[in-house]
Amino acid sequence: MLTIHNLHRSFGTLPVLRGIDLTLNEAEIICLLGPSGCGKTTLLRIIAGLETADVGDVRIDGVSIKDTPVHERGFGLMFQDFALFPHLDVADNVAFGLKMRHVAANEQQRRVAEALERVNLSGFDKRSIATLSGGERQRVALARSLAPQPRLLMLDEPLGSLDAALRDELIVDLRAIIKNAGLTTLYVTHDQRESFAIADRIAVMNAGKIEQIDTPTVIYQKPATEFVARFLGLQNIVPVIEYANDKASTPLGVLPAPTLTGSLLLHPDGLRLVKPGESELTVEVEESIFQGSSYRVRVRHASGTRLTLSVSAATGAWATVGTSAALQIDPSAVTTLGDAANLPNKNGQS
Amino acid sequence: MGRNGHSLIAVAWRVLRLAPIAFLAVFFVYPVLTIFGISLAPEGQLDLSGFARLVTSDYYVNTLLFTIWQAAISTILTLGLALPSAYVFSRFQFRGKALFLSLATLPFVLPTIVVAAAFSALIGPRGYVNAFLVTTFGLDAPPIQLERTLLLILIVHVFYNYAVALRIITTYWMNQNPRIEQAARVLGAHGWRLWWYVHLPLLRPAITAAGVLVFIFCFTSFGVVLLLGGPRYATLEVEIFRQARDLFNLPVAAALSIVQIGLMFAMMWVYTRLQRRISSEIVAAEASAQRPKTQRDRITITVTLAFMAVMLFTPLVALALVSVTLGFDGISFQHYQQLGSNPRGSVLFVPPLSAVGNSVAFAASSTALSIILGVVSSYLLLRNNRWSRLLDAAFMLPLATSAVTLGFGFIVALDQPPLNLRQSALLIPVAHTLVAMPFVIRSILPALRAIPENLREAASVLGASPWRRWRWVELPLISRALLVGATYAFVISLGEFGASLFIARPDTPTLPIAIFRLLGQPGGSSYGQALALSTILLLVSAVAFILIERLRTPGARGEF
Repeated sequence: MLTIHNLHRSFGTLPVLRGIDLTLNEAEIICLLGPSGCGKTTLLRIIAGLETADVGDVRIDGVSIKDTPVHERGFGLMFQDFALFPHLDVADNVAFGLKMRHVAANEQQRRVAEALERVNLSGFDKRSIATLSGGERQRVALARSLAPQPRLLMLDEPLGSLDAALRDELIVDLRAIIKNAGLTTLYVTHDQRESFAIADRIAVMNAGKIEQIDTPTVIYQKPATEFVARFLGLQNIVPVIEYANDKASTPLGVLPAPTLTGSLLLHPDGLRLVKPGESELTVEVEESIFQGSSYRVRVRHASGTRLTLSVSAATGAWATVGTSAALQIDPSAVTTLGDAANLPNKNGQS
Repeated sequence: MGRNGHSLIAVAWRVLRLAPIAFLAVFFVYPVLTIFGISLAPEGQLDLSGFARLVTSDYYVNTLLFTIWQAAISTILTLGLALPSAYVFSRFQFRGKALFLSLATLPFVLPTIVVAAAFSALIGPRGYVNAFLVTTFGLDAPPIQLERTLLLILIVHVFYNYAVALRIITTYWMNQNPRIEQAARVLGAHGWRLWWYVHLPLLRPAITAAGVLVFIFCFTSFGVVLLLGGPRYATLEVEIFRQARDLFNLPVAAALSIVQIGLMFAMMWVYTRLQRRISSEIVAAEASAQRPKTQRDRITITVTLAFMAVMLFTPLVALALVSVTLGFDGISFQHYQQLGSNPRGSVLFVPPLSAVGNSVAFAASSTALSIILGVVSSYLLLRNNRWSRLLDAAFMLPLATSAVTLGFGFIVALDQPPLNLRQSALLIPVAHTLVAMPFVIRSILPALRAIPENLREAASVLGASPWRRWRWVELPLISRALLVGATYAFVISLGEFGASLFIARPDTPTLPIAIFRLLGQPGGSSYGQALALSTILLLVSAVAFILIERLRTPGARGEF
């Protein structure tokens, strides 16, 4: 439905977007995930028409909208701080987009009521914006974006200004509401948990480029690059010294690796801490933090490599700091990271 | 961008945004340059005889010295009275504090002519106090003879500027850390030593800024000196007026204007720098005002408030009172009824009441003009670049150039080709707009700045074209500020005296001009009518003042 083709944008000499290609399918929720400054908000604003691209094109059903002014694009955008109109009450805020599109008055009323019902704010019509709580404002902003039934809904960190507990609760509602309305959606966030909860597909952005685009499961299980892995909090990355015959030799020993790579990710879910002797890979427990149902344990290998894993609270009490232990690595936990840089010599003549 | 949909608006805006600059160029820069021309080269070539007369004549040098001297004394008196009051307002929390602080600024919107009439009604020879003393003690002549004395000028200057100083110093003081005083007390500072070594040095930036501003106001005092000083006293402003209007000595008037403009710009420059410094030092401090604890505190507060009430309101009450009692045993509205007739014929050419109609018409046009130009200017100033900062300064220039100089510039520049507007009814609204514009801009700009950019963006994304976005989002959000600006423009135009005195045509006097002429006429009836007209003007100004105070966005009050 929406295609973005080779988008570039610089602010002065600083490149913010460096060749973005992205396609959104009808009724799909795509999440742009990345650290602040990666260009995700700029990308959103270019699609909305609030900024212009230096190079590249944005198309809707194959038609370029590059020269369409913001107000004629028929998109919805929800701002991080909601940008509700302080001089209008709840109903008039929600009706604003309808009024601008010359929707008849009775139709306006019907759709405002419908949008407010969708976000569970029926009866708030005449309330002033100043009297609303943060969560209520968020929902008014959502209703305002939904009411005109935009071709594309964009949300820029819509939960960013709310506290964590409220966020967890709202994100689930948010996905249900958007799916119910059947809207094609672009969701911007820097919070991976939010993106996992809301997205059909996630596009992880770094320094003006999309590093990987895939479903949340694949992104988490098989991060494509070291950046994606580290951004998702997956820290167990070991360098590859030699590579031959689908085997990579690393400081931890030889590990399976289906393709030539510079580094491997050891997914914590596939690492098991066992008593010394139960595995050849001997380590020492360096840190153990009790987290309720589990311990977060950091171990150190003789080569100096450090790995982090989770140990069940029921069975892991023995692994105190300073204890010797061993590691079992499930072959499925080993993921090759596709960074082009630092590839080892294929013949092992490093 | 150049799409059909908004090309019309884009073109309209491109034309409209030139309007304020064109307005300033034609009605400010051109007249001022004409004044320069007259003083430097009255006959076409360089001729400095005008200036030569200024420096060689004791009379002009003395005028300048008197201007400086009276401004200095007025400033010292004002600061001396405002400082103890500022102490009370910044230290104590008491009922009616906000109300008093806001009421104290009432004189700021009162026309000079009304204040002059009010003081005349209070302590003039036919005033309330003298009448009371004469009847009570059976005297032959009014015992208080202040008319045409320097003392009266000084009193009125204090009346006008007390609140200006009070506000600046109080705001600054409230933002000082109260523990500094506590520390000084613990270290043994007490009484006058506390003031001399702690309070005064701490407050020096605010006191200096307030002092410079009050000095500027008194330095340019025109109406007060002209009306209350009589022929013996003349500030530069008054002298410019006399030379130009009474003696038709244009080169000397022009030379005086240039001296005045130069001094004013220098002082405004100093003030702007000081003001920037004290406003940058203001940080949100914890509320340090406390409820009064001792009997002495309570007495201090009561005395301060009583002083303010007496100083600010007795002249105004006396004005209203004398306007309905002068020449009668009880209350009568006869002076008001006479406003509709013109028995003498020669004094005003028209019945005094028609001046009300003229003034309202002028004020309405000035308001419309200054709101349109003010909105456009505010949008130009919204962009924070070098251009807009330059523009900001340019819009303040008419304020720094006195009204008398503006009026003088108008009659020398705009009464001959290429621009002959001498007979045009537009001249007065244009002059009033120049005076009011800085106030209008200062009202609108903060409201415009307060609109978050993403509110505009949200409107656009929701389908609002630039025009509809302005109509439905920006306009409602600045409407209160527009109303404040409009009220300022209206009341400034109603009360404007200096420029109008130069350019008002004899058959269409404004309200202040009509009052001025009536005050100059002998006889109780004219005097009574002058007071009646002044009371009307006072009431209108007071209503406007209440409107401004109630509508002003908190935190957006500009000090001038």
